[in-house]
Amino acid sequence: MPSRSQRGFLLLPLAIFVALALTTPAAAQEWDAPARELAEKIIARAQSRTGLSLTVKNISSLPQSRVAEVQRALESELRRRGVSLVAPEQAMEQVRVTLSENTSGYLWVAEIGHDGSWEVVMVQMPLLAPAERAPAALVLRRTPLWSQPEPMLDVVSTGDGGLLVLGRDSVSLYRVQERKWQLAGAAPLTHSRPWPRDLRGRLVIQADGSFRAYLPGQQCPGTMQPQLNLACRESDDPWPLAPEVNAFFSSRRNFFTGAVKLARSSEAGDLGPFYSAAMFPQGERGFWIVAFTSGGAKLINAQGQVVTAFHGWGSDLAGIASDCGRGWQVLATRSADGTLPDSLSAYEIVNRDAVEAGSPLEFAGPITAMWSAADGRSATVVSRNLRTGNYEAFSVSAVCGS
Amino acid sequence: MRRSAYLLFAAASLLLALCPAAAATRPRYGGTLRVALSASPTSLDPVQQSVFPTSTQEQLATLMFDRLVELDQQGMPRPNLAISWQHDSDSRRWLFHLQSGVLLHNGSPLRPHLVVMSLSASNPNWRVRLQGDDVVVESGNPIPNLLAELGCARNSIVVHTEAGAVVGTGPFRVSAWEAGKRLVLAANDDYWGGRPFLDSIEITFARSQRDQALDLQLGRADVVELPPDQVRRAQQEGVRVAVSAPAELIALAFSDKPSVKEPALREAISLSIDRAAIQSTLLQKQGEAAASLLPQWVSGYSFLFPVTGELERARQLRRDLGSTPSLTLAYDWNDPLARAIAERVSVNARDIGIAIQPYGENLAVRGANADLRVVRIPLASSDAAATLSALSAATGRQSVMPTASPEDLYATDRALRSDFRLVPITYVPQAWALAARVRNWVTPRQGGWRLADVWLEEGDKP
Repeated sequence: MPSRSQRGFLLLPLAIFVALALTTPAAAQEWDAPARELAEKIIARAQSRTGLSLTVKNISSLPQSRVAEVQRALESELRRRGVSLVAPEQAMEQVRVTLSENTSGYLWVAEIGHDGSWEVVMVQMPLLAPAERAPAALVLRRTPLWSQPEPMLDVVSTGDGGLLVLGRDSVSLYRVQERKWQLAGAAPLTHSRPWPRDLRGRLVIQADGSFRAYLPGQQCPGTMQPQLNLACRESDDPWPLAPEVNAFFSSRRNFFTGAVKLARSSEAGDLGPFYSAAMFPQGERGFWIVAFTSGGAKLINAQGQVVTAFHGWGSDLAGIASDCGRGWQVLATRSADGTLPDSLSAYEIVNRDAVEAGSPLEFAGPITAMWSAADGRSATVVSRNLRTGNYEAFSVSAVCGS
Repeated sequence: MRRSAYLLFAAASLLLALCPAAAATRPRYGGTLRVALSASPTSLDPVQQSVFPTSTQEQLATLMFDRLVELDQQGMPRPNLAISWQHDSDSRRWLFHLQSGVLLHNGSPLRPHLVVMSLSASNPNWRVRLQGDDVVVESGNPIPNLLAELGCARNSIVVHTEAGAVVGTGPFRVSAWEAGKRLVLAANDDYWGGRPFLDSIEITFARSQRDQALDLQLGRADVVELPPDQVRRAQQEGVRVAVSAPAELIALAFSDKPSVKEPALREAISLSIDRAAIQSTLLQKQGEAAASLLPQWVSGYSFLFPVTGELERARQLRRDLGSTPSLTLAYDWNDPLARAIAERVSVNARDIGIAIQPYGENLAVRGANADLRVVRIPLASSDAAATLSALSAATGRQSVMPTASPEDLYATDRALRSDFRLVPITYVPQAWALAARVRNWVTPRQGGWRLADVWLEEGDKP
């Protein structure tokens, strides 16, 4: 099995590399190796190198525009080995190549026909990476942070160039060494009870450079110097929800119980069970937008009264500050379940109504976690890419512009 | 009957459309998922199933039992009860390190020796033993695809209690069981993978297609089966439908009776079948006509085998045989599609001068005494080698373990069909009609259920 350092990688350089690779004249070179292998297999089965015809048919997901490249590569490799290709009606021997596909990737199948019988040879190769779509002009900007096959609950920057990743079973610290992200340490999350199935968790960097991982029924204070260290204990203490506001999280489920309290006083209240909440300033005390477990998001004033409800929002919200519009936005996921790609929309509250600011930001899968970052100007978003199965973490912020 | 069942599905879609979907992304806990099925299983033990396990048996197994590894959508093995493994250079000896702290449904811990007993029972050809707390699997022959094998339902880790019950470690435990009639499963609160979102699942067996459609329409069921030939129309009418890739092989299985001992007879019958016509008319173009043991999306080479009948060759074989006996063909009497296919096979065989009499039999209760029968074989795995290996074992041949090389798979596929004991006809998808309140329903490409991740719109209203 690959090591963790091999699995983790920075998405942005890779995306740029893939995009460049697919737009350069070298793109067709990716067929050279499989074409060479198939040509060798064909020649090994063909009775002679003269009078062969070659036809290529595509029944795979390979774009038709790329089929001509494959045919050219095959013809080139056959000719390089002394094969003279002729039209089918003049052929002594036929070679029918079908570009097929199976669970392992592309499968090129060549049928070599002579004397009324056919022999079959095949070459397997991985699927093409899809071309990255050109980014549209967006109000929301997404910066890749981390990607890995295992679930991620939260990702935070350590402030000294490192990256802390909270997984289901461990906290991992990555640092750049020799221009590559390398695993600098990993500490297991110990817990006596099984985690809830829809596990949520949060990482918070403390002022003294230490950190704390919040998990259902469990809290794990840790340090990163001189090495990563973590000590988990059972705890029902509240999680940080917003600056100066904490909220209690159910120890066996995936939601906040509804009980909230101010960090520096005994003042407390009960909102009712909710998945997420965003607080934003409005006048002297501010408003809350809360995604309740009963469905839908509601705008709540400082007196705890529901001002209005918003429909069609998902259950993950995060508030961010920006230099645009009214100076703050609430990010909301779409109303869907975990089987569909998600999107993130930024809203501003205008006259008690939610006004969408800019275009939604599309993700390649459901958003599985979203938390406001410590600076309040971005949110950490984790999405499960439905195509690759990988979990991808991004920092999402709002930028001004057209 | 079939048309009226379809109309009921269409009526249900109207009701579904009137139910607004509430906004929520995160799963909710609680509620009972009600499922209606046509099958009537008599045992919950996935290891002692019949020669060809049914889709229902495989689906039930995933609810109650875990395996050492699981296969993802790409067929890649992922840790499950085993958290790591290693093997020697020629893949004859494998060592598995197990998760600790896993509990059986009866509350006792899953000890490594129970894993050894379970795997030994389902794989008599392997030598399975303990090495400390690890489990070692050894074989005289290389087993390079062992991980894919272990991801199949028949390798579920099943523990037999002294009272004769079977228990597992899966996300749901048995709450009530009436063989062939009803099964109630409760969420396993201590499930190592996290408690399922549903509180319980209630499965009613032996429901006809019409009854299932009624159950969905009247809100008595949340999940019902949808026959492949009704998928397209149901989708057009807006019924919420979940469909897998072609994942269930419908084939003819020949008995060992003297009447069908002649390979040329079996080959003639195979060549007489117009699979393309069956797929386009009986199945309304769902699934794919199958002349190989694997569907095209798994093998990539199945298109090489012709699916139209080869009547001239079939007639020649028939003539060379001289006289042939009148044969009997059994199908499951609760399976209208199997009946339609059996009748079509009979017509095709008659065209080359072979008489085949189809008849319905309750195959869930007793094996058929027929010369041949229509069988449904769920795809054991999205891994081609593991599926071919399972089919070779099921058909009583010496264990075949092809490598992952496509040419080796192709050769194995041909070899397994060379005696015409098992004759593929078509691959059909698994399809379900779902109520609006069912969320997070994922249909794996290879079929099956993932009900531990399903949740209901209203949940338990916390």
